[in-house]
Amino acid sequence: MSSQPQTQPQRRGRSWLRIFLLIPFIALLYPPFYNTANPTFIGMPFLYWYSLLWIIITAIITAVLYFLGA
Amino acid sequence: MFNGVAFTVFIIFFLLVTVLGFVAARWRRGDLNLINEWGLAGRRFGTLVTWFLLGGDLYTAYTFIAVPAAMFGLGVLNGWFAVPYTVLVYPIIYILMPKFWSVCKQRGYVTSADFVKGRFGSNSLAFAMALTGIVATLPYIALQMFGIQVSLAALGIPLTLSVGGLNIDLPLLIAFLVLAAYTYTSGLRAPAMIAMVKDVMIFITLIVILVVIPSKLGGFGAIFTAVSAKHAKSPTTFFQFLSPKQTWAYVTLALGSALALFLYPHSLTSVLSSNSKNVVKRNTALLPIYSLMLGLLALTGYMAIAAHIKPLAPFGANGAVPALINAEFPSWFAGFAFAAISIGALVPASVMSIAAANLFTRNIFKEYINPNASERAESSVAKWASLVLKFGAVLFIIYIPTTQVINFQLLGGIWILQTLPAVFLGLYTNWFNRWALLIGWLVGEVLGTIFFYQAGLKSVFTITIGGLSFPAMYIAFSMIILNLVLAIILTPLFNVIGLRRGSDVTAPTDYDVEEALPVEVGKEALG
Repeated sequence: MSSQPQTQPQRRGRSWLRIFLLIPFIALLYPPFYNTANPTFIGMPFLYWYSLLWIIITAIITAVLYFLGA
Repeated sequence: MFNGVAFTVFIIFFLLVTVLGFVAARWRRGDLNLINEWGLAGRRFGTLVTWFLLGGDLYTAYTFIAVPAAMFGLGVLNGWFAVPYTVLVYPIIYILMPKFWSVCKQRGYVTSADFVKGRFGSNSLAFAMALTGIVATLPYIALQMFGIQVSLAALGIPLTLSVGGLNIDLPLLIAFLVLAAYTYTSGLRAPAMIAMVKDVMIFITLIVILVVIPSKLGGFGAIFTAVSAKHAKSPTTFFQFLSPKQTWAYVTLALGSALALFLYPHSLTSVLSSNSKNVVKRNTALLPIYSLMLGLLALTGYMAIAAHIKPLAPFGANGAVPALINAEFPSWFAGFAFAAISIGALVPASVMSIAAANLFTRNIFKEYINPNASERAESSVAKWASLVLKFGAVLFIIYIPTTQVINFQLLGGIWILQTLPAVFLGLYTNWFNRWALLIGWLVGEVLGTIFFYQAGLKSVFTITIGGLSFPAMYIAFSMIILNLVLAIILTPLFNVIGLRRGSDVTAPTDYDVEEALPVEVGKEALG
């Protein structure tokens, strides 16, 4: 409780960065954009490797936000 | 066909894990007769244990059996939605769970119903939350039991034993009793300890599968060619790509499941057992490692197609991946893999039943049956409830068809998602009238269940009102929209006609507490 007043203003100041968490939703919730076979990667159709790629990108986004204290 | 080698390997690993469960009771010892200790392990798990525990109870037989089976049998819509689902869940957790952890820590809440009761001052709403949590968890536990059953069958263990005219599933019964016994004796510590072993086993299994099988089958190119061929052969039932009509179903399955996951009592239990808000946040960046595993395991369903696997006899598509493992690997490794899958189902089943038991004890037993129960009595009731609930789950396996077992989890999702307005939106506002929330919840639950039934025990349904028909959607999603609309419209209406709002006992500062009191953490971590 006692450490709260010092940390809060900084976190509050950066919480706008959380808007970046919307990116994965935009990237994945409009399938017509990625529902295709090409380009393939190691034999996987675009739909499949694109989805897997977003697991990694989203993890990076949350990790960066965490380190920035957002 | 009974396989001696596979079975021996299986038993060795299974026993190893059982022993660990009992050892866990002594780990970071606390007084297990207190519910905070038995059910939340004293709220002192750090980043790593929380990671294993959350990973252990979120990635389950759903990941190993249900999703690959859906990929094998129906393709992209019914199986692959799980990938966007497990991606989108983490941004949601990052935003919501620190708040939830904080208010629960500050006010001593153990369940979401505790929180709702404090926030909206409503016993009936808290009761509704508790009931939903318990009921929605049952089919999810059932899915885990089914996963164990399939693994045991894949080892060639005869599934039924006739005792006095009753057909008893003996192997399942034994596994069930082992699980029940160590959940009973050591609470949340047992599954957390086992989760680590289980995850190591699962990762080994996955890596071996990914290294061996695609190269045997001629690479992913060849695998996807076989998948295309399957779509060409059954163009109306199996899909490699989404047809235009499936877009809505795919999106709502992913989004609905993502929103639902952290409303389940077991997910919340794992969050609450961590020792700080930052542990929760850090985990949102670490847990996607499991999502990657889920995605790759999903593809084993396609590998089974390319390998022309004939699924294990009585299990339909659910038997495809176990049959693939049997076909492609020596029996000692198959034994290891099935042990991994079984333990991977036991851990979540155990956490789920603990969480549901907490709900029953705190929000039903203490509230309505014996308000003066001592902490000790409370803990003992929770232990018994966890046992009884496991039997409840078995009933789901017996009475609901398991053809596409992913529907078990999706049914739980329909039910649990209806608690979103009170629990998740409640973290931000106490604007809602408690009665409006209750009615929204009730309508969502009742109609959702009816639609699930009308859809033929499936989770995607086309709602038609008059001549207007909506696109086919995940029922959980259409119902949460209806639920929210009702809550929003009825709140001002009820306020006007004088249905009293409850009083909010939480303070705005409760939602922003940093961590558990350091004294408590430091001391115990050394011990």
